Amino acid sequence: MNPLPHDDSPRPLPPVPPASGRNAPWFPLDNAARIYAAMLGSRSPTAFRVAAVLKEPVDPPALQKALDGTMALFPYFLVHLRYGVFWNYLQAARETAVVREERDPPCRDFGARRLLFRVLYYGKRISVEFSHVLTDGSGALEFARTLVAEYFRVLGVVFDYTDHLRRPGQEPAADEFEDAYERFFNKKIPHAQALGTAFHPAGELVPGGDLLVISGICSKTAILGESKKRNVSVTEFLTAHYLWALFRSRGRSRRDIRVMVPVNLRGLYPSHTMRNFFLTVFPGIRPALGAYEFDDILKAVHHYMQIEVDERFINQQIARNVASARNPMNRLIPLFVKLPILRMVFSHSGSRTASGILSNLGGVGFPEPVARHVDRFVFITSPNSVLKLSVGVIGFGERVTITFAGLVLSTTVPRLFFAALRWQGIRVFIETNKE
Amino acid sequence: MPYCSRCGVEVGDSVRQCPLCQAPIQQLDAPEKPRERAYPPPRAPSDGPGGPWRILSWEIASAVCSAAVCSVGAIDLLKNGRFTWSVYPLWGIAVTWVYLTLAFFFIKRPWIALSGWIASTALFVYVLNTVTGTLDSFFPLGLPLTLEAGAAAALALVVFARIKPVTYLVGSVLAIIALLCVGLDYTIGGFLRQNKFGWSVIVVSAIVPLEGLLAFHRFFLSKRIDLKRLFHL
Repeated sequence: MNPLPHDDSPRPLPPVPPASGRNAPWFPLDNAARIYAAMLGSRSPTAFRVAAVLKEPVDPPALQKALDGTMALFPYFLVHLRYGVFWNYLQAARETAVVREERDPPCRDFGARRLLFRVLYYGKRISVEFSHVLTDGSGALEFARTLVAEYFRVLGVVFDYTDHLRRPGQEPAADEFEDAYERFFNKKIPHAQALGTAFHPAGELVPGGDLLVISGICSKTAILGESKKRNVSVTEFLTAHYLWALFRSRGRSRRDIRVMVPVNLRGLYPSHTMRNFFLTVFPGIRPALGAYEFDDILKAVHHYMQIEVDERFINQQIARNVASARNPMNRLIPLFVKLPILRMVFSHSGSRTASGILSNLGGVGFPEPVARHVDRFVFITSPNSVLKLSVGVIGFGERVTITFAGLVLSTTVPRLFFAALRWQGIRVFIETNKE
Repeated sequence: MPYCSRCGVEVGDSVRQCPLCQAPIQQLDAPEKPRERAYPPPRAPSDGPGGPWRILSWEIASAVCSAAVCSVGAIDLLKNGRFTWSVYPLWGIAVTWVYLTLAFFFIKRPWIALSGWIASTALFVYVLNTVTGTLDSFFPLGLPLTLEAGAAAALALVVFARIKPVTYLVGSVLAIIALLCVGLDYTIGGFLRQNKFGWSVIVVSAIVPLEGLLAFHRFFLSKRIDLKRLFHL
């Protein structure tokens, strides 16, 4: 593989929308994005990052060419968030996406009238940051995989398009930008019940709203082995560890401890949407009832997940969320009144009901010629002003990266989490942006 | 590979302190490699133009101000054929819009916002004095009052930025209020050619015992009695 010659020849531009101004194409926000649009702010950028750490330093001109090629496969991501009278919407932007060198802490605010994603490079790392207004972790991972494969194609690596990789020139499917929540909404079923306020770890906030990132890199074989030994999934195993760490860091609090675990609905419903299509379940424990050991927590998480990750219960959540957005009274409220209400709803029925977030994107696959140039993937989910600590999990090859992203300076929870993994015989290598 | 003897986690070759528990990492005898950073070094937080929420709020405030200017001006013009009484609300709306704009865009740079507020208030007072034909009161009364209020706000900014304990904070704010009242009283009294100090003496005499009470709590009471325990329900 040779570095790309730095030529000055004009690079092909990705397709831009055919019209601008009042004729520019636009899309209504999906059901989850409406909430995220209300939450946007410097302390709550609703951004997340999927990053690929390569084995060699990134070549920026090649990355730009790869991005241009990738944008042709995901044209619906070239949009700005705009404000209507009653709802936000996404309007096609006459703007090309440009790669930038990473200079700031991860997952910063995107700012007004800017693209809702960014592609960054730093040393050997290619990072893709998305706003949740645009897509969810699965959509971002699909984009990142395509970008990395395209980057190596530009650099001359020859490979077959296996592992569901998109080919250059492939037309986006018609249902890729559908609001799948609306499609699978069933108004005849009762809505899900709201949960009470959960315990939240206290701590001094990091100045300037910057994220404190602590990644633990572990062996996939070791984590899978420990999970299989206990007959649970990796998500259940890591969620139990997270709850265990929160339980031991709770001090004298007797509030319920819950972890918000997003569930990718593409596995339950036949949708290929690239917009948000996930819901969350809340496995947890009740310290007010007595002490817990790790195995008690694991048992509680396992059985909860087995029951709750079920189409019938998920349908209830979709019914609740979509029905409130469809309510004529709610729709008629002007946006400037609606936004603070949505913010409050998210804070009370979403963030306050959980003590933390754990999102597992699963394993990333590439054709072997590409995979041999990639070292690992990193997934950072950004927390918010209420839920100050989140965990992102992603696997690639033999490595699983577990990343804590926090708005608090305290490292108590990550320390307890990784020390417990180490205690079970799983080696952990720590990487951080903490000075 | 170096590891933390307390947490058991492994760390990079150049790491001297465990990122999780801050325990020192024992360095191996191997030659030191140049440090490869996983992330860019932290930078001072930048003050961008603000999020979409801030811009939307400013747009709404601007639209409301514009609507108010149009309706007030139109009513006066239709009724009297020229601008008469509407001059006052129009200037009032204009200065309110300037206040809001400064608040929306410079909230993270309070010194710029404060300077703008003082300057716009001084200008507003000058215009009011001009319109009402009382320009001779601007320099002895209007301008000093504006500057005194601005100085008090600047002091309050310093106090909020520097002082953390609540009792010190409350004590400092009360002292600023007392100073402001003395200043206002002196300026107004001087302008009216009355006694130099009047009502401000009452304000100061009310604040001084409060300051004493706060100092008593800070230096004596809080060290001996747990108020939370004493007053628990």
